[in-house]
Amino acid sequence: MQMAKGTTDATAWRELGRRAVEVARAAGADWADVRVGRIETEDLGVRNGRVAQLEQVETTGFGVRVLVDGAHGFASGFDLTPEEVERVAALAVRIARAGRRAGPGRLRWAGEPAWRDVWTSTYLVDPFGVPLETKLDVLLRADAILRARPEVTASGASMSFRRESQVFLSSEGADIEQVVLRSGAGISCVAHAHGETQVRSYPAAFGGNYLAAGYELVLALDLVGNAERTREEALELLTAATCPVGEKDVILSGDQLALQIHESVGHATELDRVQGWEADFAGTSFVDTGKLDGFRYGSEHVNLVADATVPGGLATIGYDDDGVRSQRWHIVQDGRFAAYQTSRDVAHFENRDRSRGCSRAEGPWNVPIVRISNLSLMPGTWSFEDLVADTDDGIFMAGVKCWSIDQQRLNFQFTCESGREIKGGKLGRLLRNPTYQGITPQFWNACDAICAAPAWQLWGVPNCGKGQPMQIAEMSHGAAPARFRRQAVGVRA
Amino acid sequence: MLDPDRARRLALAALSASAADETEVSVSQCEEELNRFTADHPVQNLVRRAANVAVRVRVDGREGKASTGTATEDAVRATVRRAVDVARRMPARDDLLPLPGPQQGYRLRRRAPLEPDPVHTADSVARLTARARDNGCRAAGVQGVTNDIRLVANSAGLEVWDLDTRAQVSFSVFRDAGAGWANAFGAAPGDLDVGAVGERAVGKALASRDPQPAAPGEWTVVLEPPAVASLLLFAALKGFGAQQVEDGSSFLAGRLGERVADARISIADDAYHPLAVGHVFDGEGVPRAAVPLIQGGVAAGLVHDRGTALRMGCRTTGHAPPQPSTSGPLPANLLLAPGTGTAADLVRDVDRGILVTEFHYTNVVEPTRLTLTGMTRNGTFLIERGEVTRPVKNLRFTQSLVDALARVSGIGGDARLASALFGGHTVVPSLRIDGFRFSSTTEF
Repeated sequence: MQMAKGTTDATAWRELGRRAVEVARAAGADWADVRVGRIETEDLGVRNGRVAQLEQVETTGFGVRVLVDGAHGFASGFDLTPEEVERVAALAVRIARAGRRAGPGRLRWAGEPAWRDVWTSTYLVDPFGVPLETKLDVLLRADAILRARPEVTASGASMSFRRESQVFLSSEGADIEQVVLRSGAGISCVAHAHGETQVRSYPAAFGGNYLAAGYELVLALDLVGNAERTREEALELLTAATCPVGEKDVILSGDQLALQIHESVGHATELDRVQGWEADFAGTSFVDTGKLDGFRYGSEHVNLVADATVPGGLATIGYDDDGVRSQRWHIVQDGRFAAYQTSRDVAHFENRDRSRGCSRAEGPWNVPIVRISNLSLMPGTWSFEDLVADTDDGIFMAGVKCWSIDQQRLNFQFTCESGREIKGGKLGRLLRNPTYQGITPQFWNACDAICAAPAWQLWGVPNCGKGQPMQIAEMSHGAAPARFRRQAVGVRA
Repeated sequence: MLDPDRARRLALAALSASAADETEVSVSQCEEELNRFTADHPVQNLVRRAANVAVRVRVDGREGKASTGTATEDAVRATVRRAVDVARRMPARDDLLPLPGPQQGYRLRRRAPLEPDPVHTADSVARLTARARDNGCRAAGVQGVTNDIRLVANSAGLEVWDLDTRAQVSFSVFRDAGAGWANAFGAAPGDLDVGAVGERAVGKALASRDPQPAAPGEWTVVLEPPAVASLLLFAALKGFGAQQVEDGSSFLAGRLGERVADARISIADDAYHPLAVGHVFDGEGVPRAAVPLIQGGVAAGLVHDRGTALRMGCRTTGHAPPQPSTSGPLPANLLLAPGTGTAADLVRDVDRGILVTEFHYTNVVEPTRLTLTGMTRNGTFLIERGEVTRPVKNLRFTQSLVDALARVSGIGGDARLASALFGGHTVVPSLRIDGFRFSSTTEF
């Protein structure tokens, strides 16, 4: 096991950061923090036998955040010079002061020790050190297998690697250096025949699976070894029956449950949304603070745990962008709503004097906002075989295809890539475009069985959009297949 | 600093430093000022700057690309070296088109950059939130400005840059389970009628208090422009690009020249419409053409990049994303030709229907029929005997856009620039559609 390497630039970044804090404080900031850092990415994509994406990106920058009499100001820049840092720090204070013309400063900042630490994620094989030729060979071979049938009209294989290095300094004396390494890979193909188009992906849609890990993730996924099966599943879906319309038991795969957790629990329990801070864009939440009084979110089988310390999680960090040390806590415990996801400026709405550590930004040049942590459904006791055998009339659904949920996170409708009918305890015919629709608390209260730990794994979400200006964040959701009784399935269009 | 001269210096540094057979450099710089507020105070208030210099090179028939966000000549030269190193490791290709040379026909915007003015923005926000409070409502929203510079230059002699500016205000208002929303875009803050935005959002919120359930099923709907934008943006992503037609996933695959919509429907991609935003050249610096996509209900064309144009035997329309890309060409400025009148006029002929302010979280269930699903949001109303009578709780639709465009029974003359949750911009009017399918309901 290796630790992600620290950066040789950290000393220079600290020097610039200290100057920013000094300037902001001298200009009247009650609180100032600064993040200076770099994001390095490598994205490789093959489409229809050709290299269609091959980019290495390196972006540096910094952001200064201040509070002046409870008013927020943030400014960022990309020129790492003392003059620019001073200009931006002073600008942040001017912005905060100007903001007070729009209303009183009402932001309250929860307490946290001023940590001084260096934290790095772990990996086995540095993906940036693996030769490009090696990576492309894997992608081209997997893609060739996907294209080996004429019905396949589009094939794709991709890898994505990301290293984030950052120094965080605050006017309270925090000094945190972090390096996080993340990797992802996957394949997918589109098959078309007889006027029908179907897609199948491995190991998950939208680029595959992602972890805070190195190239060992790519090796473990074995894209080449799974390409033929993925292709054949896409072809089989072309002639599969349409998902029936009605009410059935639904067993969801882990990757689909990850999306379900993300949309119907993750975003719903971000406390900034609950307070209306996101109301003009992504929306609010039905989980008002009155529901802290033991609201029945799901059945007694449902335990949903937020954990910024879980190994491999995309949101696993030492400290968030407020300088708060990572934590693990229940969002839903034995079916009862237990807690929110918070940053330092919304923690008090939960009647807590400490943030849960969920404040993250897409790079130092963006403002930190509340983001979903690694949020997982804890495993149960069932084997998948026993769960199917115990289901008389149901559908097993796998693979994210389409998702939509209302702005309070109640009415959702999800379509999967693949469905398999269950009749009398046995898996039966394949179903295309399997769709289920529900209302969040009713859905989670219908959960009566969850598979055991061996079937549990983390699924990465690399593309969660939120905020204005919109930012992209990453997080993971762990899940094993689970059953939800009598759900509305199929839809007439 | 954010200025075109600096972008040109960085591009020149890249081209001068490159010994590759072909080199392309794309420079973008963005500055954004935004006041994000809720209730009676800003919660995020910022000025953000970011830059990117992307270098694409060809060496011995191999292509590589690298980018940097460090806008110095040294960093750009290092990026050229990285791009060449990437290229040397790539497999040789026989399908690389030579980089495009100098182009004719640019109609550039080249606006003067806007000066971020947090004081002016805060004063405007104060007036908006006061209007909400005065009506017993809770508010949330954003107001701000953006400067966006883009430059593309290459070793074949192409060089083009532009500077676009945008001012925006978006205002959501809530009271007694009712919600209202309105927004406006312009090239500068002076273009925004912030007072009208406030009046409209508050009016919607007050009118939508205490909504009652409406039954799912097929309804005649009147969709205001933001709701229409939500639908058309997925036609842009899944239907009008030549690559989607090539792989058979577009609803237009094999249907060019056929009737695909009501005869009143005409859709084009037109970056030069007076209300359009964004850059007027594509990721390779090729000027965008105005492209008829559906004319009089008949499928008339697709947007192309140079690759799809070569394969399909036509000319590029200037819709390439930055190359290389897996996505293929995409429309950037969809325009739905307006009819006459307003949404209110469309309501007048409806015996029983639903008026939709906006759709939320629309997504594609199935691409070949463009079956979409999404939720109504921020003001949904029952129409009875030609009048908007009362608010209803939000509904989920699951509807083929292909079928819906064949059942359009009225087009408003109120075309405006409208966006959707997942971004993008269209210029669209209100639409009336018969037999629009709502598939379920929610609790608010």
